[in-house]
Amino acid sequence: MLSLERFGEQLKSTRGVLKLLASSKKILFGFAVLLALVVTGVFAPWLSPFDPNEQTLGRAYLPPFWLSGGDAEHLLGTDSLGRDILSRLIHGASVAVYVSVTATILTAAIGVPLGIASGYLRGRFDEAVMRVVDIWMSFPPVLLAITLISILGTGINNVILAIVVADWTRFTRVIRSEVLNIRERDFILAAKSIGFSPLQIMRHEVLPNVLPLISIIATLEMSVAITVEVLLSYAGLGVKADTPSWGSMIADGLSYFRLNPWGMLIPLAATIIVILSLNILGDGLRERLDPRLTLTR
Amino acid sequence: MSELLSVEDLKIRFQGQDSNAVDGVSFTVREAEIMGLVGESGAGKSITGRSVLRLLPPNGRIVGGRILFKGVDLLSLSEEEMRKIRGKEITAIQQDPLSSLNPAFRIRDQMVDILKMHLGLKGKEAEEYSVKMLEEVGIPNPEVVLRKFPHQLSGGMCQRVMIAIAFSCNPTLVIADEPTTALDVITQALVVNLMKRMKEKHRTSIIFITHNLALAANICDRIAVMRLGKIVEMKPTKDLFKSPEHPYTLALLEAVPKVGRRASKIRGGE
Amino acid sequence: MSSIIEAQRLQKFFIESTGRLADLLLRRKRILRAVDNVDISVPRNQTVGVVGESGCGKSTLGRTIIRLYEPDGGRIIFKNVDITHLRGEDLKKHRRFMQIVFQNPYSSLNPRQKIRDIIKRPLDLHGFDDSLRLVYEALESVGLPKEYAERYPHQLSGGERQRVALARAIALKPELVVADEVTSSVDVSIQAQILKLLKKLQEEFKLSYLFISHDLSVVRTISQKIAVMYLGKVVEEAQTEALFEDPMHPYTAALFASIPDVDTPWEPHLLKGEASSLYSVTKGCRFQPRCPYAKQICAEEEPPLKEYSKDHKVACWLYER
Repeated sequence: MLSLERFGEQLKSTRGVLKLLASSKKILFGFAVLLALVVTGVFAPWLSPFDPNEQTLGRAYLPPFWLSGGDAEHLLGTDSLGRDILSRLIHGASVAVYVSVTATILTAAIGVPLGIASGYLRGRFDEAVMRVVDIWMSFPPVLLAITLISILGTGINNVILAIVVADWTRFTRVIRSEVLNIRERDFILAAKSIGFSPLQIMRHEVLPNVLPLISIIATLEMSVAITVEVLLSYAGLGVKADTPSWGSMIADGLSYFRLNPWGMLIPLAATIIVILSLNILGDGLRERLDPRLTLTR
Repeated sequence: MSELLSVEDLKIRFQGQDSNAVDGVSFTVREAEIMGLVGESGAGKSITGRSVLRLLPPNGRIVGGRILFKGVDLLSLSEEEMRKIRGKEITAIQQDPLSSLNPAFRIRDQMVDILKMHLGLKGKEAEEYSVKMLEEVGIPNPEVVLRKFPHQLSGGMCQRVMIAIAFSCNPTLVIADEPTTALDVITQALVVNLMKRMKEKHRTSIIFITHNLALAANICDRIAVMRLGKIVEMKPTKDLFKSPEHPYTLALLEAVPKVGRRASKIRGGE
Repeated sequence: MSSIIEAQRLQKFFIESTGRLADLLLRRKRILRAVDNVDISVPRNQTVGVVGESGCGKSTLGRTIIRLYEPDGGRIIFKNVDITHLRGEDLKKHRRFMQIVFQNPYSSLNPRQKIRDIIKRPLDLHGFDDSLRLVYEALESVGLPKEYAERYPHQLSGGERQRVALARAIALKPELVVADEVTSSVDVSIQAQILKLLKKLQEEFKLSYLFISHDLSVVRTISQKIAVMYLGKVVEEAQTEALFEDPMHPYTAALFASIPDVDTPWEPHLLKGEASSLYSVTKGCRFQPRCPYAKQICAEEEPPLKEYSKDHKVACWLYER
């Protein structure tokens, strides 16, 4: 319990956060990559040397500048339509950030209150919710996502919606499980004896104790979101054609692989690095917290 | 009565801490003697007990001193040699019987395994001996109990089984670490009484570790009061309570709530 | 009425599965009669001790009597009001006056709240003005410095946390405080401090206590009246000194004899049989399997709790003529 309390306290102050970062190589590394991603994504229009959709057909299939045939103007080369890969990569980061952050916030907004209510109130409400969750989880998530896209159409916001629909159960189950433990502790009984209503107890006693766990699940959710977006965009079911996304870049890159393998390798590498880093960050946070916290699914 | 165990200037430290958890502890235990290690939580008494068995937690290390058992320094033995001693010459009784017994095995299996290993008894002999031991600790229907799993027995029963196991190989020394804390007061009296009887019958020495000074007063021959890793006072029991010297002992005695005078027979009885 | 709270024929059951497959299929459950027809009352400005061993139901009694657990039968009269079936706002009105302090100082305070909020929020809930000042007053009453208000529970020691739990309870200016094994999880030296504090607070705020503990020595120093519980029932109840001088129930006597003491010689009654549990309650008197004085009738009928001398009740066939 002690480490959980300290962890929560650390999240509250800047000095605390810095101490947290310094405490674990995993956390530091994961956070650094995440930070780089977010900064790139947010400042994309300023960082990106070219318009990602600007086509220079005469200068297609250029390799990265360090290889022969490369050009310092296009540091990472160009794709089949002469679009600058670096610029597309940077804007792809925006997509990744937007999708992962929004999807995570939305799944948390659904899963956390539901998980808390379910775990705290128990009884028929809990049974009903868990039944829905169980049934929902028996569908392959990617299938759910694809089905939704085919109904609603493509586009970045529909991708987010698809992720939320496919994965809201994650937060729900994990939070509920933790709440089942928390509700047995004496301070919850104490709150009851003072006269707080169940709603007040869930909001003020239970929720703050679940926040550290939420941050861990959030990193996991973000990596899931990015994965799904990349997969959908790769399949052409993701973002619209003019939006540069790492997924669509990979799909494109595959088609002209012979002419410039880097068109596919670079966005693939970026995706892998980000997902790995998020998982490492999550691991580091979990280790730092309490070894008994296990994540399902 | 010769000296069975001599702990000399024992020092134990945990990883990441800058002071010793056990800091220069010395005491002896004679044959057929119950030696009490008494103190509050954090005093270092449990760790001292575990070090005699050389069963420290992974982040603890013995950084000084000797533990002489029958003249041999236990700290100089190899793990293999130590294993021959553990469970046979020196055994342990822990606080929580349910966690010391393996929940996946019946009592019979656990007892028979130990007897086979340490005494070389064959299956049927071992089982008969187990029944005898259970009878000795006052367990009714021992054959039935042998077939049960630990969770099917009450705390008091389990603790008695633990005592039976601890004494079954006729050890010279038993380390009892808070053996009655998890028990109700009436069962505690039964268990303590039992331990006294075993000591008399088998001439076994016991290191009795507890935070309950009153309990130690009634079972131990000698008591060492521990505080923050050191022994502050060590005397034969009667002397300790008649004329305690160290301020900490005095403070402890002061703070121990005394039940006081009370009748222990009812007026409705014979 | 001179009692602040009174329980009449109070019952609390827990229903569990038996762990046997046949019962699972037949939907047969096991009923734990944790509190089984208990009558108990706490006079104003006094302390009633409830003693017994783990599993006897004393903690359950303490929690049920303040409606923390829902009673399954009987009545609870608090300040002359029948609160047994009150709900919502009606119950909340009364909650302020009946508080509880728990055994474990490590789990009874919300680790994510500052001490200040732990004490202040209940005050705000019940509409106290100037709640921050009351927080400091409460901290002062329990002997903690004002600065502690800004700390988190994990920064305090076990004894200090227990004081915070007390401060939280008394800040609401209750009339009844249930102390549920409040000294059992702290070191002996801290125990003495807590007891002293409890007595002081009782004087200062005219509190009534229901003091639950398995430790007879502690209960003796603080209670005016003691109830002895065994497997869900009160087997004896008397004024403190009368109980110690003249125990009537065989269980009480066995309890007294079994406690090791520094000053007095130890002659425990070595009772036969096993310490029973709520899972194996027998017909008739629950103590009968272990009782050295058991008669025929003890195995057939439960003895009622009756008053045999002034203020001294016992449930035992030995005294029924």
